[in-house]
Amino acid sequence: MNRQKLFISSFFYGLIFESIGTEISGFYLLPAMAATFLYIKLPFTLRAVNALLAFIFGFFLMMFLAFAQNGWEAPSLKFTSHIFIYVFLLLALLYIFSHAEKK
Amino acid sequence: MISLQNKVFFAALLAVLIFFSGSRAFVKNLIIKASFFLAPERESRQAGRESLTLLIKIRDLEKENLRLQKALGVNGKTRLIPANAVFGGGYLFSDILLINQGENAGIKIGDLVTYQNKVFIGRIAEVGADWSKAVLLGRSGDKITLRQDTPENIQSVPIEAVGLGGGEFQIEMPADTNLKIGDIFRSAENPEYIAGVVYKILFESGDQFKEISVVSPVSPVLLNEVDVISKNE
Repeated sequence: MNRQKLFISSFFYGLIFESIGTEISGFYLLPAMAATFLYIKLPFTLRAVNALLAFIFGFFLMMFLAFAQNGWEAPSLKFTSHIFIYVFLLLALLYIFSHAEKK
Repeated sequence: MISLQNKVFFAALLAVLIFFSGSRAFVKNLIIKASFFLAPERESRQAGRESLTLLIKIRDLEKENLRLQKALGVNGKTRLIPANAVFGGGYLFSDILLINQGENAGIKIGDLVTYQNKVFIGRIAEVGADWSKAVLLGRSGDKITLRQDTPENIQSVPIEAVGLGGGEFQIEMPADTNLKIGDIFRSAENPEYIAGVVYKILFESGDQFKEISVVSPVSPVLLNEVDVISKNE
């Protein structure tokens, strides 16, 4: 699977949450695209390391957006878990797709 | 010689005899005619009794209807539309709830979504023909005015709460506020509905304010049925 396919997959993943979710526009799509970009561009040969770093970046980017949205109040534990699951699933999908390509 | 008096007497006797000899048929006839004459009246009286029974039944049904409407908290201005939750409210789609009723059922954008017409869950944000999307209370960044649930004669001050996502609000209240975990907050706009209960109070001595976390008393992920309160136009 080439890079474009990974980008398209993450774009649709973000778009689903963007259309069903209720947050400000770009809340889901922007971190998804940024994390995918990072995952593709990171130089580590071990893809799991790239995925982990992209996950951390995506998670903190979404947390930052959530803070900004709440008037710099910390989001609730449930919402933090939601962000964690969202980014984790994205990176898991990207990792599985790129692993399939490798095989 | 028959006197005039006797003549009159005999004539009267004859008349009486004639009358009574043919009177049975006459009286019978009279009764039948009278009954024919009175029959419509009897029918109308019967119909009147039936319609009266129907009117009493209608009155009883109207009373029952009013009683049920009162029990459900429905009045002429609003309409209660029951719906089933399709998905949402969990960890993956945290602040939304999709329901299986939409425009066809009369749901409009801005209608209230409640649980058993008692707990305020959210508002309708998008409507399709047979589906609607509700934005749950406590959405990240949302602001809502709440009032503490107090006895009826005491009016509490409205407080602005900020949604932290996942059905949680945060309120800042003066340090001397007497609040405990489990206290109820109602929506200031719709005080008949419970918006949340206090579940965490953060306060350190010397602070001027208490940070109070309020959460919805029902978990949206466990909801199967919701009631949409739609305003009649």
